[in-house]
Amino acid sequence: MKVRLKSFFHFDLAKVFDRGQMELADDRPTLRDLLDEISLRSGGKVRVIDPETGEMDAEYFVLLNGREVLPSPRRLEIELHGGDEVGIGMMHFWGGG
Amino acid sequence: MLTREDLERYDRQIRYEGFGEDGQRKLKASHVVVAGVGGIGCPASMYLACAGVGRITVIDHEYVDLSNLNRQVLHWEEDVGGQKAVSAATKLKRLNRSIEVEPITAEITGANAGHLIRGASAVLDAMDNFETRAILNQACVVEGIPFIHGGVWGLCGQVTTIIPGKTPCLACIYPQRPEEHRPFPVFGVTPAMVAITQVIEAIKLIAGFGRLLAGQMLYINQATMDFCFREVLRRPDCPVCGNRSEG
Repeated sequence: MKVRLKSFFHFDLAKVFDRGQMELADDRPTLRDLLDEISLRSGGKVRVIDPETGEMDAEYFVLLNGREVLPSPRRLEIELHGGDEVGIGMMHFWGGG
Repeated sequence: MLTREDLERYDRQIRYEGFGEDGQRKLKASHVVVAGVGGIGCPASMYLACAGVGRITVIDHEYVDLSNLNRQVLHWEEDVGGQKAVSAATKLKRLNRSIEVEPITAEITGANAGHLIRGASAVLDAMDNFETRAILNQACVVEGIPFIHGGVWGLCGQVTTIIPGKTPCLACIYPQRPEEHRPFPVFGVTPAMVAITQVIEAIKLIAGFGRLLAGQMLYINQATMDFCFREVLRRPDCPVCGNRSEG
């Protein structure tokens, strides 16, 4: 199953994001599955899930089909569907150039 | 009032339905403060000047460095070592002699921010550090002045328009001081794209047409040409704008 990806990071993630989509092996993957896969493929550079808490790191924002995934007990267990669009970015300071 | 030269100079934008001569008059009567004339502030102030914003104040306390020249397009080789605000204002005046451009070489602080922006139609955020952004955000909320935020990082950019009392302020979006990396990687084209987005926000806001990025953060990634909007929310407990409502 394929999901579409949008990324907003200050470094190049061509191998992970540039095709704009990611194939997930599981038939009924969750947002957690996708974020784990991204962490794996990015060599840990994009680690949205805090390994200590198992929850989303506050330094990231995640959008699912244009809507932000806001804090809730089971937000990472949201089931993804083929064609869903997931956007990921960081909340770090962005400069004036 | 628009002169015959104004009507000729701004003819192409006056033709835009919904803007017209009335919009041009509003721009001519407006005052925009550009806080920082670096990668964002240079192209932003150029397009404000070209559009006919009647008064532009450019504020920067830094001096031009050779490493600025890949992106800070108002500063040229001959300006290295000079004051950025003066360098920028000199070029802007040559670009459009019919407008007023005021350079201020000063650091924006909690003590002077209110005075520097008072009476402005809008403040464009082109700062390179979070502390000064937070100061400007607070001053804009206190003065009731729209604050058009823009930021870049690598090939990514973000823009939102903050209307005091109506939309989230910067402190709502960043309740904690975010991590800063300086110097950070940047090409000239990324701050330019952010800057022109901020400028069209200012023009729409002043002239009163279109829809603003109010309550929304626009994210751009030029590496992948991804764009997205993220809804940003007011925090009732925000220490800066929490108890304010639109006047």
